[in-house]
Amino acid sequence: MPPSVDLLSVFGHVLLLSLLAIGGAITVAPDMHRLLVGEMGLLSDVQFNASIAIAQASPGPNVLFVAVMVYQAAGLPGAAATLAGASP
Amino acid sequence: MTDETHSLARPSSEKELFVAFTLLALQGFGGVLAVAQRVLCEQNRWLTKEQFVEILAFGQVLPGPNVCNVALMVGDRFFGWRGAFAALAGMMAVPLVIVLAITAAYSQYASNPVVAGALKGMGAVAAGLIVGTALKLMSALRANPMGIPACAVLLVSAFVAVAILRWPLVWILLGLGTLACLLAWRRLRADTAAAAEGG
Repeated sequence: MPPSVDLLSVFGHVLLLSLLAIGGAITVAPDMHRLLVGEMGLLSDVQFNASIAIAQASPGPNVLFVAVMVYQAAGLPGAAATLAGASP
Repeated sequence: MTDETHSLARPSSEKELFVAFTLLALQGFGGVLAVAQRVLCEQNRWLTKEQFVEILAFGQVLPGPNVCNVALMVGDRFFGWRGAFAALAGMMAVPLVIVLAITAAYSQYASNPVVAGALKGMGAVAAGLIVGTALKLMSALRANPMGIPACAVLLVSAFVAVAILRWPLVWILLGLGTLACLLAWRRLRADTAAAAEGG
């Protein structure tokens, strides 16, 4: 778990994506990949894949995949910040 | 329809709303909307099917995850903003704890080949589900006022921009989305004018 994750920018990005998620939360998955795996380098491809798989296979709304990703990248505070951003 | 509306029940408290949304979220593997319709319309009889479809249609057009929008609107319908938050919290709280617990367990055993293999398989299934959703959305394009060729061009451009060029989604949506809205608006206006002339 990298200690110096810029949670504010993750929060801002998720907030923005949440507003763009017209037609379902899964439409923002490619952009989450661009940000978390590409730009910020917080997750590996395997972790990204696992996040979506876990969220789809678990009970509950699939939008929780966003929380799983940030939990893997930044621990519990990250997941909390992200979910606050994802709920419009 | 009127009879149906009269025989509807309503939740007695925000707590009942919270519990109902928690229970329906926990039954939803790979998406909760289908379960939401069954629980809200058939089991609890809080909404007619038509009302649910209407709420869902709004939820899909509004920004934000569909399920969150539906929960907020159904909750608001019965108890105002308190109901909206009760429904949304019900939908998210327990599933969030479960999914994070699974993730924490996964992180412990991520290097185990059996766990890694299982997750790879689940990833493939998830990808299949996403493609399935895309195909379902695509079948609605046949009735689109822009026509099939314009839809196809927009579809391919969006795919190339997201998957190959990897541009930020904001710019893709603003660019292609605005273009699509303009095209549809022009076509609809032309159709209305033609219909007025014909009639």
